[in-house]
Amino acid sequence: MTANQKSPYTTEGTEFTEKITQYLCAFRVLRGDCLEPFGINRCIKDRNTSREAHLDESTLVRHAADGDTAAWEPLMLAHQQAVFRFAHLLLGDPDEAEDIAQETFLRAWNHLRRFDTSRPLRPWLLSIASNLASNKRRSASRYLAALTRAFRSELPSTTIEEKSTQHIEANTLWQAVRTLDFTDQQIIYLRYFLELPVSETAQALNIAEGTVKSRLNRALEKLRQIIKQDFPLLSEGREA
Amino acid sequence: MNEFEKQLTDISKGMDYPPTPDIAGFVSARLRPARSPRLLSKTWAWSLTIVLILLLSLMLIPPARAAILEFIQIGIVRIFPQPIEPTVEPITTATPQTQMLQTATPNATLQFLETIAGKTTLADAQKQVTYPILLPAYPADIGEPDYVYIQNADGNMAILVWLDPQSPETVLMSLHFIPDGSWAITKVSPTILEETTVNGVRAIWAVGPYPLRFTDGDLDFTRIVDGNVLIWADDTITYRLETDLSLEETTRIAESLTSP
Repeated sequence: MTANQKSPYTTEGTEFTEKITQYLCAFRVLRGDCLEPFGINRCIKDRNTSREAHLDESTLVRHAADGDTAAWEPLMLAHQQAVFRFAHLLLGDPDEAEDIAQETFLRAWNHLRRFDTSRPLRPWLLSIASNLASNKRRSASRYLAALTRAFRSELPSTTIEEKSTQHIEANTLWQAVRTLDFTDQQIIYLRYFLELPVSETAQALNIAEGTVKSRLNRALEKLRQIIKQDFPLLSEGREA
Repeated sequence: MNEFEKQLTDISKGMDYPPTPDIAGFVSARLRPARSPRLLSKTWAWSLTIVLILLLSLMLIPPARAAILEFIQIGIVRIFPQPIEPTVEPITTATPQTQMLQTATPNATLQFLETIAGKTTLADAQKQVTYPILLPAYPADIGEPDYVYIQNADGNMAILVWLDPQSPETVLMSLHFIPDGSWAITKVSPTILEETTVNGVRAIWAVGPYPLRFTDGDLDFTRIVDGNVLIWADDTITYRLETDLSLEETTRIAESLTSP
């Protein structure tokens, strides 16, 4: 190879790195902390408007749908926390939540061509995660795994005393929500724990916005009764 | 947002979630090797080589070659015919009612139907899938299904279940809509297979023990009716009609499917 010839691997590697840099810029825009110019004027110019950020997400999705894994990575970085936390809320186990989150992104990748890029990605990912978690809850392997964990003698890394009152209160609320039906849990987690707007909650659950509101009303009423009856400290704590 | 909703949002902010693992890193690592062979690890390369050698060795043995090559594909369903065990009494000699009673009592059947994942209504199911959920027009009094389920198997699969009007605690038939791209069914071993047609399209009529399993390995596909299965497909959907009726009756039901 002469000095003027470039190694195809070097060229490809450089292009790949440039792509990652560009896409990470887009990720920072999506996340809302893109403060410096990274070379994509479109990203910087429109970073403060969610509409434009969404447009940028759809560009990344289109690239990813064409098989570009470098475009998929920043999208995963942007949404992995929401997907993981949602799965954890639904299943109550970090290992299972991690499995579900990984499977969610793999399946979403495999079906990106079917995804309507005019829509935000997050509700679709949460919808996939929700379906996977629902199946997982019913699978026999889950109960075996839970049984195995029950026999582990590891102590929790933190004691109750070490946790702040806020954490205890939040975990008590979680315990209360977990007594509800799976569908009621889903809508409460999406709307209040993950703070999705009604429109995205509707998309994640494949239901109309009006149905979200009516289901929420019913779920909240049930939750209110459960807190009153079984978790009185929670309501007292808030009143105080 | 009312006061209670605001309280929920405030309290939930205090959740001590476990740290989010590097999911993006894991998934990226899973995706990249598939698209750039030169990154294939030595372990994978060795595993692949061993599998290829085993496959080639098996192909040299005539019976094994037959077992590998001979299967029937209808839509996404792949059927591997198995030799009939001489000790097993053919299921066709039993009456359909006897078959139901062999597996479960009627009450157990209804309890089982209540536990299947994804129970919903017909209207809600239609909103969740992009393909039309067809209903049989035959028999004339069949009406809407008694149970409807939507299950995600890399594509929303619809399952309709009708109870027997003469014996409301017994399942009359179930109809599955499996969209293209769903997990492929890899293991099926009916004792009797027969090629037939539904509206002129090739179909398979399968009788006998018929364990199904998705490639996912996590979700076992359980038969709802312990009878026979008629499988056919169009461009995007594979249909499975489970019933203990005869082939003629089942085909007539299949051919009567229309949009409601």
